[in-house]
Amino acid sequence: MKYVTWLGLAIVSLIGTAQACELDRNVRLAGMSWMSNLMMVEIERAILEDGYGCDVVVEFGGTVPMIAAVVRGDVDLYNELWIDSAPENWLSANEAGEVVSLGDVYSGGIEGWWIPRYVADANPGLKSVYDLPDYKNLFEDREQPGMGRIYNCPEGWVCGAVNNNLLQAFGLADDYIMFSPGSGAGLDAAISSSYARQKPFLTYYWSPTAILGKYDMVELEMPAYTPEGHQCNMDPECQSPVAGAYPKASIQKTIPTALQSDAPEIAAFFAEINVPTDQVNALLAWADEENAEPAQLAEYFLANYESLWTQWVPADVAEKVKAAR
Amino acid sequence: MAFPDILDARALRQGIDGFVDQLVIDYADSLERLSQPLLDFLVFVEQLLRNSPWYLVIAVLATIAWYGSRRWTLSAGVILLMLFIGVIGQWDRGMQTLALMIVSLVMCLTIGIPAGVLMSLSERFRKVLLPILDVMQTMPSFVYLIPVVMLFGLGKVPALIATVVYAVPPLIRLTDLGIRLVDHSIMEAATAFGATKRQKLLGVQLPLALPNIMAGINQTTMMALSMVVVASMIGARGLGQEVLAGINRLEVGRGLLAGLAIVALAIMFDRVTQAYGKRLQYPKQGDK
Repeated sequence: MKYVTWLGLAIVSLIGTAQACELDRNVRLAGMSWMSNLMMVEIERAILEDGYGCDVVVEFGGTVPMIAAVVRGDVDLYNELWIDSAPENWLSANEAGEVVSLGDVYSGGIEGWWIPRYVADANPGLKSVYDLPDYKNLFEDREQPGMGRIYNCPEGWVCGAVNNNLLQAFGLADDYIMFSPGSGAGLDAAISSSYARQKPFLTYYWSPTAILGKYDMVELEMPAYTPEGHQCNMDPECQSPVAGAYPKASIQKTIPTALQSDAPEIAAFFAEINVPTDQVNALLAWADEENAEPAQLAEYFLANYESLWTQWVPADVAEKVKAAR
Repeated sequence: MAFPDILDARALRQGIDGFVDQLVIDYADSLERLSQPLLDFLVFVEQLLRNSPWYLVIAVLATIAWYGSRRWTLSAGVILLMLFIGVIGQWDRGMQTLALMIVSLVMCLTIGIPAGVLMSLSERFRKVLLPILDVMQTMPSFVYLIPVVMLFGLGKVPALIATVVYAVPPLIRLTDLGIRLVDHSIMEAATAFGATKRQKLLGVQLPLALPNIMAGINQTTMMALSMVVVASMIGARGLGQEVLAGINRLEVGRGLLAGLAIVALAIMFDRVTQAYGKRLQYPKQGDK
């Protein structure tokens, strides 16, 4: 009888080690406040907990402190690094070999100037940024009568400098104000309020985001992207701004390099994670419609996008994740 | 232990969201129109401050400081503080912030003092207003900022509203307190001389409550200045915007210089209103 108990215990502990996490500490994910990132974090948390048997904590914070944290090795994964506008501290740490990029998390970020579909339909002549001077009264800035208002990106982001330079390059500086909305929350509130009332507005926006998944928006045409031009436009002091579109941005996952040797399987899983941008937009729009929490969205993803996420992990891990659902 | 689910919190949240959305669709257009005079006034003050020569602005502020305190040292201090703001390259943004401060202070005065007087007169009004003031002072401002942006649009008007909501409670409380603290024997004397209610209020209570009201104005100004950065998160221009940019770009220098300019404005407001309050309290010492 005793032997059977011992045998049972041995089997249990064997299974236990088979499920044990590679790290003898928590896996720490960088949780920035917006929905696409929270969705990825919750998906990763579910797979790490159920598939790899790890304990996961999410460290919440803004982009700047979280990039600093991944550079210091305080978090193990940062999901959304816009590599073309990566900050200096990440670039130098990357050069020194302290952090490493694991490739694209989405199929690509899109940036541009957008108008709602109802404005585009009502004004068929408005197709490109060069048509804007004729429509400045449509987008009038209450605080500066006679000028149009373009919503810029949140204060301090690299896109702010690009937009200001593009305003010059497109010859719009006399007709339009590049209006800083301050925060992303403020910008989103202004957009949803205007959209709900079918009011005309013109805004910089980026994808993948819930806003572009939820609202029917039309991108204004811009001249083709040039690498040197964009390089100059990113500099607030750019002497001669170049009229050219945003590049299709690469949004990448980044980890401290040490994780690759400490936990090779987990690092390999992180490297495989990738969701196409249009599907991210669709997922975010679903969450917005259903008022879902990030964790609910992650469950929805795991249930409905199985062919996608099962490619990220070995078959046995995928089975465990499925079994836990 | 988890608390039992009595209410469906998600349904409650959705209900509130739906209510706000409906509010936006029904009232945002008219609210935007109604707030236009306020915006015009704010734009006017801002243009006036930004387009006037800097030395004129400093001279006017120094004169106000002298009238408030009758101390030339304070005027000199004001001049130095304003020069400091200019020297560190924050003049234009400082003027934008100053304009927002002046207009929100005017609004706080027009709302706060009458509300405080009413509170001191009616026990029932006081009971209703006190919890509202508690909410205004403690509710995290972003909670009401976003609905305000949805109703009034992004920019100066919601910033003004947010600032007033946060900054007006101390003025209301201290006006109420000041009137209540007026000595009963003085009030009896006024009644004995046959003063009407109105005469008692305007001729006896308010003048005697002035030091407390000035302390309220002082506190209100300080709180309004501390809202500058939050206001910039919904599109208000000025020093707060610069602080925000500094934080988001991890540029400590940019944030620090703008922050120092905010401190300079605060010290200036604080000393001038305090000196004026003191002069009201002890007229013989400070005057002449």
